[in-house]
Amino acid sequence: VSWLARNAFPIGLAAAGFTLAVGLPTGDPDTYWHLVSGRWMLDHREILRTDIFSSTVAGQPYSVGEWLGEVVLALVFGMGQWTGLAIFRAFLVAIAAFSLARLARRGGAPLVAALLVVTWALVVSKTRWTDRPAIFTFVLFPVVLDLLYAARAGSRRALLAIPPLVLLWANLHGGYAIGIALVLAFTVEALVRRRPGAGAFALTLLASIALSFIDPETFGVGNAAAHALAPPRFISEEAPPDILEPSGLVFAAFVLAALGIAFLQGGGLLELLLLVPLLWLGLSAQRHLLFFVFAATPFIAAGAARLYVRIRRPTRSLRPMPAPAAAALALLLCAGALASAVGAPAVPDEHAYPTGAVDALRTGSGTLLHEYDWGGFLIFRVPERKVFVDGRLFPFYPAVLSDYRDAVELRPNWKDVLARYDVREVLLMPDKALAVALREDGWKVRAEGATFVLLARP
Amino acid sequence: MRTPLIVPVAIGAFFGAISTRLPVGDSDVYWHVVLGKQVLQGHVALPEALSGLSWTALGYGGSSDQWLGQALLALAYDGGWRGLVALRAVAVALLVGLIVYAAIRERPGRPLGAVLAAFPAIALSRFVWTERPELFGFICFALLIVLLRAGRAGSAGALFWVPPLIVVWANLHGSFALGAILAIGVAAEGALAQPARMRMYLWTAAGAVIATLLTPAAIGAWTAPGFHLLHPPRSIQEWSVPDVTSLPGILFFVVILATFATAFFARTRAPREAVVLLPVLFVSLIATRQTPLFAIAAVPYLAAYGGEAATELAAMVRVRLPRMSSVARPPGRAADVMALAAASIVLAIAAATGTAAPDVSGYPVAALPALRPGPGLLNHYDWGGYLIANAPKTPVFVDGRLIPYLEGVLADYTTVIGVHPGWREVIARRGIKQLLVKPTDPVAVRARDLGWPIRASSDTFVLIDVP
Repeated sequence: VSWLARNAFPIGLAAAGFTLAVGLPTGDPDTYWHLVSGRWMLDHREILRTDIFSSTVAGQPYSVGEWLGEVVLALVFGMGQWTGLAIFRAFLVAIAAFSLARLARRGGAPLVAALLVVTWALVVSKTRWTDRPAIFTFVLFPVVLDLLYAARAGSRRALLAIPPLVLLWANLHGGYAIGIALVLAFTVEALVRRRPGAGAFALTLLASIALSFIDPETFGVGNAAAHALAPPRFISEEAPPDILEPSGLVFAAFVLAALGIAFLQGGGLLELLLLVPLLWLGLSAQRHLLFFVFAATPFIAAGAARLYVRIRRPTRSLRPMPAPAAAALALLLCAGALASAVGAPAVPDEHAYPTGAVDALRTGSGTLLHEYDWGGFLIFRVPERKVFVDGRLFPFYPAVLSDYRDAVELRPNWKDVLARYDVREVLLMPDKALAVALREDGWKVRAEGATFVLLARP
Repeated sequence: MRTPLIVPVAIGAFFGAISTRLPVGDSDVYWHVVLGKQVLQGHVALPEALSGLSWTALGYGGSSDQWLGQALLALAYDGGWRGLVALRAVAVALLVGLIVYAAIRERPGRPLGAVLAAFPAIALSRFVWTERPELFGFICFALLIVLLRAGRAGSAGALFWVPPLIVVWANLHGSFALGAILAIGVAAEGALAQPARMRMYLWTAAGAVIATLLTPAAIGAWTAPGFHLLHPPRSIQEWSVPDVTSLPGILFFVVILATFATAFFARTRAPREAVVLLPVLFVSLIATRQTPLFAIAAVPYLAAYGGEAATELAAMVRVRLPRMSSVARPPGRAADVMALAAASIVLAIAAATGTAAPDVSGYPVAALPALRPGPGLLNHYDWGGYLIANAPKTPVFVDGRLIPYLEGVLADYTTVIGVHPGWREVIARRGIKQLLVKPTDPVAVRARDLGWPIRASSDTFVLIDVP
């Protein structure tokens, strides 16, 4: 009861996060190939190390560093299909919201300030509530950050949990490097400030790094760094954030709030080591926005609270809710959230995919060239046809992707590309230059919808 | 302590002289000069139907947004490309000089530290050293930062000059809107903090607003800045989102990093800096071309408090920083005058021996003789300005003015150039007779596939007749 009462606020936010996330249908193009990869690994009891999905890099070795994440997603899907996936995702979002709420109150922020900041942080993070291994990084980031803050506040036991979490993280998703970076920032700060327990932080860092190598499908910090330094900009989530769009605007608000609070109240070495690198990362690609936002949450919440006190001294403090009442409220919210699982969608949202072309694709043959974003969908829905490219990205980089873009964007060598790969069918959005040109050149329309056209060589 | 001018003048002149060695011939300078010539002939905001620059925006009523900046460019162009290079050199020298002055004003006794604080802004400003009115806007911005800081620190004279500056700025370039907003913000904060100076701050704020209306377009002058702020044309590179993996983005981020570090560690809290730096940071985060604004605005703050922060941080990591030499007595006014004279000579020599002709390697020079006179050409967006100046008998489809083409022209341009559905219908509906595009543009590739006659071509362009 006392734990529930103490954590009523984080539990409440976790319940809210669960309720919001569970109603969202799957729609991410990468979910499909992750599920198929995971299923393959479960069926074959080995790690998928070579390409089995494409016609362009068939049999070539590759790694996306997410084998365990794919296996977990495939297991969940096997047990509960799309509904199970939605509930699992909501559960992970709830954990993230729980940790974030705890983080927000670490600096002594009152409930209202913490609630406001966490709500907006969750709004930004909504774009990352996807059914991909990346969601494990979305969850583990605030969890590890919360543990590190707990350890910095004196709870050394919190550090014990971190190396195993990094081990798990390294096998779940390639974003584990950011977890090690968090430990590094806390360790450097502890060493420089000569904090008691600096040695424990250093040991945690060493153990985390060592354990991260226990990964049969090593993606590597080098690969992660290379990806961050040269993101493939033609993928929308890899583009820099546009602050005139909703998530970018909230991100900008967090940046300005953090700087504004720094002007007013200053900051410390830890804030510098955490916020500045994560700000660079956030500005480098919109998929990384949330790391800065999450890391800035405790700083902004605490700063906002101090500012409020400066502007308007409270005459009397609010009386805390009695522990039994708080615990009961937390349980009630949990129950409500669990009840909301009945609204979990049973089917994915496939309005952006060429569902109307599936039958025609099954009866077609030869090399198929298609939209990059549809590769995963095709791997899942039309396994009898090999894809040209898909969201795995690395196996296709740079040669196949370059050829793909030359063809689809109607560059001077587009005919050479079609000939070299012996492309027999093309599945594209109707407004693509290649689709327009092939129609004009007499390619046969095999299927057509508002968002796609399937053309076959005459 | 009086702020000596010798260092700002010397550094400004140095970079101004360097700028004379840079290429000249920005794609927009051509149409700015043509519009400037119209202004000098007494035609501010000449309707498109009369100017005949384009054939697709004949209903456009003309724009007076940058008439003064364009007139300055046209005046300089009377001296040929060297004239433009000289004007750009003076403008760059002024901009850099103001950036350095803003820094040294904060720490007149320690010019080296101040110059260090100014360096990222100088480096980032390199990306706006173009022969366009935009450069004049940056000069006004740098000057405004100096005036607002001086005014807030107690100089009534500095605040007095804010509205006149904005009058000039509003007629030079659309970036004046940010200046007016900052002036209002600083005045509001100042009035709250120093009620005794309320009247001066009121003059600054009210004057700044009224000043923005003293243009040929009056309230209409706010249209372009408002549009660009909220709907930046992302397809144009300079309006793209800042990319911190590119060189300008890295420099921009260095300034952000330095600002955060200073705010975290400086012993002196400076909450009023937020009034200027937060809105400017927001504006800078919108588009690459606006990133120098934050770098310039942050210079005096970094100069004032960066040293404190560096000392604090160094003490934290137990590193002893080298002591920067301080100037016991700044040089007198005579030294300033001599520096100004020397700078003028340096700039004059540099301009006389600098770039004398535009870099036209990126333009379709060899296509000019084959262009048909009269309406009917669809040209690449980047070449509109060049054609306006060099092929006056062939009006353009689009050019860098952008605003005249928002009503459907740009959409049609995108459809044709990208070979989107209906591209042939657009060609027929618009009556397009020739295509002057890059060889890698989808429409060029498609036209070659279809066997359309090619009138001229090179590695840079292809001119195609529409059958």
